[in-house]
Amino acid sequence: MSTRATPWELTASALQRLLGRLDADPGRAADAYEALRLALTRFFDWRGAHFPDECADEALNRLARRLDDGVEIADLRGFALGIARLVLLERARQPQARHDALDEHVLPAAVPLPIETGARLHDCLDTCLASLAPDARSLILEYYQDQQRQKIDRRVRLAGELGLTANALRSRAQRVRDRLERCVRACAAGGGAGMKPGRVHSSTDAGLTDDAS
Amino acid sequence: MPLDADRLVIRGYLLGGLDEGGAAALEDRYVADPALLDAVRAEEEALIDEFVGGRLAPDDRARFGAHYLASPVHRDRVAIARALRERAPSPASSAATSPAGPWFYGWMATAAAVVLLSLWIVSRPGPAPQQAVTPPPRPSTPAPARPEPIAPPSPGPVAPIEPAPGGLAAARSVLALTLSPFTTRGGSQPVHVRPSGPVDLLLRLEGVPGASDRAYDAELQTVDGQVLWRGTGRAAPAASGRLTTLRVPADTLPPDDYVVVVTAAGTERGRYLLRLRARQ
Repeated sequence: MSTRATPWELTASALQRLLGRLDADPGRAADAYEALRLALTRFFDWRGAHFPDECADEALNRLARRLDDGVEIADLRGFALGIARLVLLERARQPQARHDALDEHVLPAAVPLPIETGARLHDCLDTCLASLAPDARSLILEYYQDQQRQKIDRRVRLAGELGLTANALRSRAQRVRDRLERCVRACAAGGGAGMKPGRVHSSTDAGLTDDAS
Repeated sequence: MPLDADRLVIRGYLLGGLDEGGAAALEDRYVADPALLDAVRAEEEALIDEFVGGRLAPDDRARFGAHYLASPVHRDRVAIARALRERAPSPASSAATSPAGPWFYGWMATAAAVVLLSLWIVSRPGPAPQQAVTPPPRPSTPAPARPEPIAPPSPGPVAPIEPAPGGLAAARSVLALTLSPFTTRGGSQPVHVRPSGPVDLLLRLEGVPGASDRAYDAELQTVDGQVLWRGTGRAAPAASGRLTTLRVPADTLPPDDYVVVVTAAGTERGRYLLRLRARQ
C-alpha cells in the first residue's frame, strides 16, 4: 500500500504556469513541455523504472505544483530532474506497489511457447501495425531491415526519399517505434489473461541448499 | 571502429558502467540538451541492434544482459526490435490490407514467441523472459581463472540433477565457485573452467542477507534473459559474507556467460555473472 498522501491533481492554472515558465510563446511552450517530458521519460526508462511515462508525468505534476505554490525556480529542467530522481527513489522503495500480484507458478517459461500462444502476438502486432498510418508502417518496417552496411545504405536511401536528414529519420523512426511499443504492450497486457505459459525446468521446491554448512 | 569519448560514456551509462556521479552528470546534460538526448537514444538503438545481431563484444554483451535487460521495458524493446528486424520486407505490408499471410508465419514461430513472452511480464518485475536468440559467435576463450578446490557436497537436499551418462551419482563432480555481485563499475569478472562430465556447480554468492531473509529464489539466465534453471537457497549466516549458496546441475550447460539473479519475495537481492569456459 502506498504511503503517499492524497495525490495532488494538476490544475489548469498550474499547468499554465509551468508552460509559461517554459516559454512565453504558447506553441513553443507546448513543444518545450513535450521535450522535457520526453527527457524525463527517458531518464526513468534508462534507470530501469517499470513505468517511465507514468513516472515522468508524476515528476512534471510535482514541478507544476511547486511553481503553483510560488516556489522560485531558477533552473527549471534541473529542478525537474531533481524531482525525477526523488520519484525514482520513491518508486524503488515500493517496487511491488506498482505491479499486480503474480502467482509464482505462472512465471514466464523457459521453454518455447506453443504456436497457438504466438498467434495472440500475431494479433497484437498485426493490430498495432495496422493502426499505424501507412507511411509510418512502411517506415518502421523498412527502417529495421537488413544488417550493418545494407542497413546503413537502406536508411540513407530512405532518408533521401523522405527528404529527411539521417537524424530526423532516426527521430521519426523512434517515435513510431515508441508508439508501436506502447500499443503492443497494451494489447498483450489486455489479452494475456487467458494465456498459459509452459512449464519451466524448476527445482524451486526440491533444490534447497543448506548454506549453514 | 573505435568509439569516441562521448559514445563511450553514453554506452557506459546504458550498460550500467558509469559510477553514480558520471551517470548523474550525463543526465544533467541530456535533460538540458535535446541533441544529447537524441544521441543517447541513438546509442541505445545501436546497442540493441548489435545485441540482436550478435555483434556485441562479450563484456558488453554480459553487461547488456545483466543491466540493460534487467528492465522489462528494455526486454520489451529488444523483443520488438528483433521482431521488426525479422519481419520480411513486403510492399504489401505497407498497404491497408492485412499483413497476415504466408510470409508472416515464416518468422512468427520465433519472433512472435519472443515478443509475446517479453510483453507478458512487462507490467511487473520479474525474471527475464526467454529470448529466442541464437547465441552469437564467441571469441576465443580468455585465460581461465583457477577454480577453487572441489568442495564437499552440501548436506542439504539438492536440486534435481539431470541423469549423468553413466547413471552413477558417485561419478558426479562438484565445482565450487565464489561469485561477487555484478558490479557496474567495470572490472573484469573471473572466468571459470568447467570440468568435463557430470558436474554440479556450488555457487557461493557473496553479499549480506537481509535481516528478514530466510531463503532466496534464484535463476540462472543466459545474458539475453533465457531462464535455464530455477532453484532456491537458504540465506547464509549474517556474518558469513555470503548471501546464499546454490547448487546448480551443469551437465548440459555449455561454456558461455550466464547471469545468476537472486530474489527474495520478488525483490532482487543480487545479480552475479558466471563465466564458464570449457577445459582446453
